[in-house]
Amino acid sequence: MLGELAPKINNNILFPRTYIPTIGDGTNNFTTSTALGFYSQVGNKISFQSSVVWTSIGSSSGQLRYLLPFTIGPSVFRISCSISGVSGISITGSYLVVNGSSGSNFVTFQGISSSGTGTTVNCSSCSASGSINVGGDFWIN
Amino acid sequence: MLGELSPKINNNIFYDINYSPTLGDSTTNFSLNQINGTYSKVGNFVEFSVNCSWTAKNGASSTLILSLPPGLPIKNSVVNMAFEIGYSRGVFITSGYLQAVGLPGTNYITFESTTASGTPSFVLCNVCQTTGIVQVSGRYFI
Repeated sequence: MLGELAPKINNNILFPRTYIPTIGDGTNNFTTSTALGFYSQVGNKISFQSSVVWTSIGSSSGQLRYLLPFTIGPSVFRISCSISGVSGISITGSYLVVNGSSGSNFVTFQGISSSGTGTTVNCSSCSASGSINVGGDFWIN
Repeated sequence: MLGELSPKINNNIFYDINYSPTLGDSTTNFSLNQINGTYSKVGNFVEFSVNCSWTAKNGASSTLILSLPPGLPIKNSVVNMAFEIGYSRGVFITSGYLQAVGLPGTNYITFESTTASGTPSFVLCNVCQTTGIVQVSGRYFI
């Protein structure tokens, strides 16, 4: 059944695309050995999965930012993303969360303590090498 | 243009399909008493949600894996997938935070913990408790 649907979808509806995610402070990006993302767009909804492996943080110094395939829509307050394969990102707190704001084409990172306090992750908290996978859904309008 | 396509997608394309996930290592599965898996597939894009609770590990000891919808392995590319963990109990990690990852070319989810200092490691079955539950959802490309 699914097999029958796939050709129709591939021809007419689904838009699997690739993009190149970047990680850094938004001005100075890390040097990456792997940087690839996939996304699909259905109406205003974007679903994506992406992965980066970096080998140098270069001169990045500010807030750690990760590039999305599109800008988050104006009707969206904030988005959260799922992460996996995290290495080389040191946090203050117990666990790492990723979120983005309306009008931004990137997500930022926070370490959350057991008491619920969030601390922004800066590039200076990243090791010379590391990796992260980021995925999620968001709306562009 | 995309807006014009949305009704077609809503009316004709999306499907909710149930499947029975397995949990364990690559050779031995846990005994499950709640087995719920649902997915939708649109072209090369799959969205899924899984709920599993286990009552015995049956000797499983190596890397903990949770199966994805059958016959729909993750796209064999360099991109690892990041999934959401809604709830877990009995998945023991020594420190840090738990993540669910899908590796290219595989048909299952693995679990990792990363310490606050940024060091990751896979979660093994032999450190899971005798009983527990895990709920994972996400999306991936095939």
